[in-house]
Amino acid sequence: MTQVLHFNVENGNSKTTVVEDATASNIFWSDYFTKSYVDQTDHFPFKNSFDLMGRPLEAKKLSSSVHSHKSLARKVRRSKAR
Amino acid sequence: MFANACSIAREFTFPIIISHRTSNGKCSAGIGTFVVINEDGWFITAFHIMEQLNKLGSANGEFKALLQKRLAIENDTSLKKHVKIQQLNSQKIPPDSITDYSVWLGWQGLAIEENFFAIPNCDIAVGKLKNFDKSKVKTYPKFKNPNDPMEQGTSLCKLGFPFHSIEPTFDEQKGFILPPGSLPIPIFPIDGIYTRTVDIENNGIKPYPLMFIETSTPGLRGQSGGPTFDVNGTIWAIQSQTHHLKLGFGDNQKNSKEVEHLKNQYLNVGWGTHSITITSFLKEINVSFQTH
Repeated sequence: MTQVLHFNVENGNSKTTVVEDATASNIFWSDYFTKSYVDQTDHFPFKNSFDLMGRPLEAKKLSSSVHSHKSLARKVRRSKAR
Repeated sequence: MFANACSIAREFTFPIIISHRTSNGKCSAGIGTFVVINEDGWFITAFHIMEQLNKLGSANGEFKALLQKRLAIENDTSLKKHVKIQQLNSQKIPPDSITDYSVWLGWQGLAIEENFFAIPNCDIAVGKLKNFDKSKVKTYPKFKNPNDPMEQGTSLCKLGFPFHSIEPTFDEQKGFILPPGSLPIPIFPIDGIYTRTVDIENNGIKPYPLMFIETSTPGLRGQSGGPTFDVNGTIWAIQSQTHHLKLGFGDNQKNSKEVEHLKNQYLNVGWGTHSITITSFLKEINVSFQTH
């Protein structure tokens, strides 16, 4: 049994145009000098998501208002109990 | 270590950009890599890249068929208005329908010939370029002779086009336009060592082994179809996929935040189609290549 080898492919129903001058350089299609257009945010999308130990910062800390609410409620209960 | 090898491999490693537009007008593009094998314009890449192109072709065919159906309903004078609306509503065009797509292969005018060869199990595809100018490629690759020793621990490097995004626009006349800053695409190497060989179940599909080479570093998104080569620039594999091996630390410890963090640690390793599979396949389809 031989696996089918042949496949068909189309190059698209449209074309691609490049804005840069294709004749400008023989390394037009690739270069290892990165340019400023390389979006730095792509490289580390989780910036500010981890602490220095590499643990995720999930912002689990309760906000101060929630804290004060709880402590206030506790205080009220305790004062009533007395 | 790989400075010389990279300068060799850059000569035959090219980007493949596949752009598409959906019916809601959104355009996007994916980048992969291919290697030109010889001066006749034969090239090799990952099958999943060619498959992506085929999927876009099928999706575009479905879109065109849907348009035809809607046109037939609109032009049917025998239908009452409310029936027509009802039928048109049942044949709505999904917003993610593929209206246009195109492939760009590093030079203007370069295209892929209609027929190509592939072993999907090994994620490998070989095709021929149309309008190929052999003077554009100064050095053609040498593939590792699998009869020579291929030692575990050998330093290998992968090359391709990761960490770059292209957001094309679309013009009815010009097609997809790659905006300023799209080119040249920065080429990116990543090194590692040959860790293991992965055997693919053959089941008599081929009279030769179907194998991947595993390397200790990941193949990056955009490096698919690119070469994995040694310090001489000789190709040992064509990058296919990345696997995430669980390290297993903290598995027997009590749950806590730190342990949970430990449990989710992985080693990312690259898999590339082995030179024994590539060279045997090229011989099978009578594509000339060099070995080292």
